[in-house]
Amino acid sequence: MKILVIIPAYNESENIEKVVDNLIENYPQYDYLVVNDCSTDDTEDILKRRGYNYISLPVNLGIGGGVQSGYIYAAQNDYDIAIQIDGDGQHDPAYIGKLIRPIIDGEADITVGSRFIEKEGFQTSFLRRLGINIIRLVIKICCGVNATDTTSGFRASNREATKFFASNYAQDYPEPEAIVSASLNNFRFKDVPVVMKEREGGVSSINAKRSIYYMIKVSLAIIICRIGTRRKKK
Amino acid sequence: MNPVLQIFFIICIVVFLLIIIRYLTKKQLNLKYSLVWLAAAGCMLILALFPQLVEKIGNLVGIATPVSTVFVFAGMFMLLIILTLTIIVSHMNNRIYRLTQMQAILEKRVRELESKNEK
Repeated sequence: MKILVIIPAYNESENIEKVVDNLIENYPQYDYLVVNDCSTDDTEDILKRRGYNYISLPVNLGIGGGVQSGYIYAAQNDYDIAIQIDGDGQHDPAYIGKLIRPIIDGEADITVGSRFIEKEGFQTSFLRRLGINIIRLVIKICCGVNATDTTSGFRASNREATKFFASNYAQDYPEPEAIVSASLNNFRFKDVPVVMKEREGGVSSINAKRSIYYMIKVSLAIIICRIGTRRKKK
Repeated sequence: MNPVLQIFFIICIVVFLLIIIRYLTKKQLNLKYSLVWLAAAGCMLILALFPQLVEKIGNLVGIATPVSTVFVFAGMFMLLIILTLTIIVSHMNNRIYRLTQMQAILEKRVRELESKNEK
């Protein structure tokens, strides 16, 4: 079974080596691909110097476009499962086995690692949790899927879902929208409990000031996505 | 309408049309996107030649003065044009995304082939 781990990286020079080395040393059964989203620091030099497997976008596309390049790569190279983990070390690859188990067993087409099921490890700030729960409610109303960690970037998809993401992937707020568009297109979704760490260095892409703006836009995006997609009959 | 004003309008519209046609022949403007402009110039020309039409349209929808009628329709037209431009920009945005992604994947293949050849 061919499995690809996609690691989106934007200005992750502090963390990327640790993340990739850990994967290479401890999880050689997975292939990996670092997507350098036109970083302005020396992320690309590190990738080149260390001889990692990477692609480098010539223009900054944001997390959605970056991750989608990984899905295109996975689809082109015939991977059975594509996994996405953050480049900042928040996601422990030890949970990959757990994450892809429902896909291997044929129970789900996409899985998302959630830190809120068993409520262990880093639980993030109150505001962010509030935002995640509002998005969770909107998603539940719009497409009846219960996703507990809607903004989690720790996820896996099978071959068909990967192909779907390669051609349709939301660009601005991809994590919640991907859940919505995939489940509206009849991909089976499953939450998997994982433990996340606090990021080790660098700065998160979401700050407190932008959160409210983010919330409004995400909710709108989800609703529009729901209106625009007719649920296909199973 | 004052005939001097009318002639002024007609000259302006003809110049506008000539500018559009000049850009079209120099291929700096796609015909696809210029149709809406040509149509606009055509409408304005008709209205300048037959100003009583403006009054009739205004009476029809209940706009008091012909000047307001012109402004209302000009505003609507501009909204339409701006929306069209936003749609074009979004479309181009999607294409740039796809091109960027494909370029990055190809660049990786080239890089790998080159290093294989060196060995």
